[in-house]
Amino acid sequence: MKILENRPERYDWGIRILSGGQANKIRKQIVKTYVKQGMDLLDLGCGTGSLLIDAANAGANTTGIDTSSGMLAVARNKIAGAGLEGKITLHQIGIVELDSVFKKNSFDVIVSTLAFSELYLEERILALHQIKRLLKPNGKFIIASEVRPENFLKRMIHSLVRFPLAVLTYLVAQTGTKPLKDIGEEVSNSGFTILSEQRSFLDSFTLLTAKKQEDDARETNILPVAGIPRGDLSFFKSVWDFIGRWFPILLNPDLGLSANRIEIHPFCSPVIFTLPLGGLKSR
Amino acid sequence: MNTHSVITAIKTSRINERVNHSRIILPQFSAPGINRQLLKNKTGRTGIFGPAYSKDIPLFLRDKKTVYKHNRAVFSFPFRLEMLLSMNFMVWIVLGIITLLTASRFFLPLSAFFWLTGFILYSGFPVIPGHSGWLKAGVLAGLEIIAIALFSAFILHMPPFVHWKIMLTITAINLWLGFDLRGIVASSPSEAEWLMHRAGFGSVGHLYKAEQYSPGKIHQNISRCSDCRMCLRVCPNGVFGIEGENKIRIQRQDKCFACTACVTQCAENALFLT
Repeated sequence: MKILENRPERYDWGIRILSGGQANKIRKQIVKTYVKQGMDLLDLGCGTGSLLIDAANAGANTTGIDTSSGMLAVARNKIAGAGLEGKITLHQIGIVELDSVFKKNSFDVIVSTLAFSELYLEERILALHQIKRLLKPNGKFIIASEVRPENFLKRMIHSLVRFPLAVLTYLVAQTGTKPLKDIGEEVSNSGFTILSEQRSFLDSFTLLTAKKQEDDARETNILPVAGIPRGDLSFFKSVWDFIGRWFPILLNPDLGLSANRIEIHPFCSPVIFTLPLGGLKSR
Repeated sequence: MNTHSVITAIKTSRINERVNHSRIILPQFSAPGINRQLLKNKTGRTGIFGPAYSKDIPLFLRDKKTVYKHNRAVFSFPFRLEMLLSMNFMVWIVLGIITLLTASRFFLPLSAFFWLTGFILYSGFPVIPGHSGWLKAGVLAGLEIIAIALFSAFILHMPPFVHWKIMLTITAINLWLGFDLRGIVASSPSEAEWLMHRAGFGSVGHLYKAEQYSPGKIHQNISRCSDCRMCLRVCPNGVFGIEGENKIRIQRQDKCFACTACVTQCAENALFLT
């Protein structure tokens, strides 16, 4: 919820509206099905701590991470309010920083609800590798996320239904969500076996459970391929992005530097500027 | 942007394996949100604040000192037009649909007026009197009302305020376009917010909650200052200046809008808002 970091108090309310009250139900379902007494649980993008509290009440040793200090502040209040202070550990780090904080094979359950869609492609790939490292051998990885329905008709109907909810949520809580496209494929390509996938709401929501593959000599050294940014987005895409209140990022072709965008998605990707060997073009 | 998004970009790009130095240029406007110490601890990279706009990066690479001239927030005319379009397009669509359904004959004239007055407001923003968007919109509405009154009286030979309904509509549209509930930045709250306070609206359910809007102005603890120029570098509005040989002092306190870039970046904790 990139837009919403400045309104963390309204986050819960906004998400309740946007998910039609389902977000909470799904979190409780995850805890009920997968969390047992004494398990070590990690929540990626724990936000306001809803799932952590439920898991701690079910007897798990819980840890949560999030990059937003606002969200973590709300989480701390909720945890204190639930009387669980000291039982839940919070870290303010990004998902790709996991390897600097946690040791391998330390969690029975790693879960991420409504957070994976906030990551760009390379972040997700790196995250999946780190998650695999942190999972205990029989540990489970669970993702709950909005996804893009593959069926065209379902996608259309879903956007119609979702549109007024999204507008309302944005007006009130300045938040929104972004669906993932091929998360099942990304997860299995990163060395996981998918145990189950439950779709709901016209296939637009997925609850995916996976475990890491045992024969894991495959420590692939994935160096992301830097993409050359396409200077001109297609006209319709530009208009669409524009009226969505984002300013198109136009890279000046005269820079004389070569600009390598790290991911295809035009708006969140970091850009590397590299100097040609001969130096800068003179202005 | 905050430190974690930079850390993430450094990690996913594996830039540490690709270049043999340890510097990274950060965008000027990220200064309020970046913890350079954390960045260094987690990635080994030293953050350097570069120019405000990426088009000035080549200049910066040639001569680091140019950053002091290219660190300001500038709202150029094309940028303001972009803001006009992107901030009001959805509003126009929604209001337009409502108009089409209820009084479709007004759709075209109202839309034309909406964009025309919006264009005048945003392009004329620097010259229209008034220190907030709302006041300027009010001034513009006033001018348009006068124009209509004069037109009615002298061209149509009718009473000047016979078109009062049009005048009301014009005022409403202008005030909407200029409305900035939160003020533009922390230290420039708008009259709209003040009005709501006066009317007793602390909050409107979940929709709006008034916050304490006195972040104050910038002050400098001179005994702590080491004249490192970081504040001079990261201030987007030219609050700081050089005095004497190389002393850095607050010169335009009135220009401070409490973005907290300097407070966050000062290594000596010599700056504070109050």
